Amino acid sequence: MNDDLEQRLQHLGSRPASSLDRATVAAIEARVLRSVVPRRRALVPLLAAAAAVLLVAGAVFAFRSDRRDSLQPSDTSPLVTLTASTVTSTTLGGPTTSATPATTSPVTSPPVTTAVAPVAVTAPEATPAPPSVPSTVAATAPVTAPATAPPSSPPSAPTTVAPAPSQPVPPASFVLSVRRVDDRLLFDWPRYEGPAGQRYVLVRVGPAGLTEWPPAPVRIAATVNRIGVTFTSLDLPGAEPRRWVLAVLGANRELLAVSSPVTSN
Amino acid sequence: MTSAAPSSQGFLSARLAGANLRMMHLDGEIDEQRLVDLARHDAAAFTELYRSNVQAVSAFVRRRTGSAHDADDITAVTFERAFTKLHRYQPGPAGFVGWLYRIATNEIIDQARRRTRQQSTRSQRALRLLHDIATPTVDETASDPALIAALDRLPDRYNTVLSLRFIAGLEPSEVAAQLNITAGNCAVLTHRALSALRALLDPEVPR
Repeated sequence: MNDDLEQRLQHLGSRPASSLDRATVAAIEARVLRSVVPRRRALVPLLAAAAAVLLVAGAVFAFRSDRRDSLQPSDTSPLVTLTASTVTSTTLGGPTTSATPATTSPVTSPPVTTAVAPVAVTAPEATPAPPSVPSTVAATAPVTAPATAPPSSPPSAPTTVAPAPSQPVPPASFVLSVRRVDDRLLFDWPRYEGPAGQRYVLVRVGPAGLTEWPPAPVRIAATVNRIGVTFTSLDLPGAEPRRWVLAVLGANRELLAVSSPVTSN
Repeated sequence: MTSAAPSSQGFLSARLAGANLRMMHLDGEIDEQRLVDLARHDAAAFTELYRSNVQAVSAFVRRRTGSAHDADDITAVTFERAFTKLHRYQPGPAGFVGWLYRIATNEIIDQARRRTRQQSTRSQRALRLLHDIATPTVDETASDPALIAALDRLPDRYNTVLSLRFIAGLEPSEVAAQLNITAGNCAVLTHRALSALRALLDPEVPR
């Protein structure tokens, strides 16, 4: 019944249509470029600002939370924690020190910075740490002891400082992209769709790529704590080539996937 | 790792900036699906997709609209939308170009709707009467302007199924995949669309 109409439509579909010349193809390219790139560029500052807020929030959260936000697996060795507020430290052969946040104790004289010999630092509720557990922080970082520390400041959340056993690094399974806009590096990557992914960690790596996990803390350039976010940015002036790898971590900080290394300039 | 909008830096540039894309060229094999996967995070790969499909999309739009000027406009919009919605693309039997045909058809429908709205305003009508500047929406050289005009008046779903099936030349299974319906539903939809089109072209003929 509709055969003639079908033929009429098919005839329309088979009508010769001259192919676009190169100039027209280029003109359409240019038009698409003009319409898409400005929109994207307008989004970049907003996205970068949002990413910066997320990074700051993530950093604050990591400082204030317990082990859950560290990069270490949760089933690792016992951790030594350091409270940011008043802590009565038990020293093992060294001087007794205490750490107090500046916001709760106005300091009238310059704070005294004391380089401490290996010190085991405990949470207020905890019993003194056994001698066999040295504090890695105390061994390397000086502890500031203001003169007027109130004895009853509320303790805040502890921060993880202990290292964890290394995990095997899986082979690269996705591509990280980086580009420079002025003094800023913009990274983006495809969203991790696995069920266990919790956060992304951007790591600066050497020529060999990511060879160990967890990496040295100084190599961690950024942490993105939302698995749905697929971009981040770094303010990094200069054009020195650097290599980067993005790692995907699970709920227990286990390493799920890594990107292939990408070089920024 | 499946979805992410591609970055715009270097978008549509002539250079093949992505290392993966270069390797594929060196291999002499560019698999479309791999290219689409790459284009999700490699702008240079999208350039390849554009250049591979722009002629087909443009020809389809020219045939469907009968207007070369409209075709260039719609083709550009089609690729803009494809670029921004690439993360939504799901491989199907019609391939990437089938997905582009679908986007182009939607844009053709939108444009026809906008044109109808504009022409229906009194000011536009008065302007046309005063200056006699009514521009034909369909080229006089088009083979069947009445058919094109009737297609534009069809409900969107009928318009889409007929455009994809007969003008783009997709197989029924490919049209069904694009519309996310079964082959049986697609056959029914096509039949109803043809009947509606016939009613528009020749109101005297009973359905």
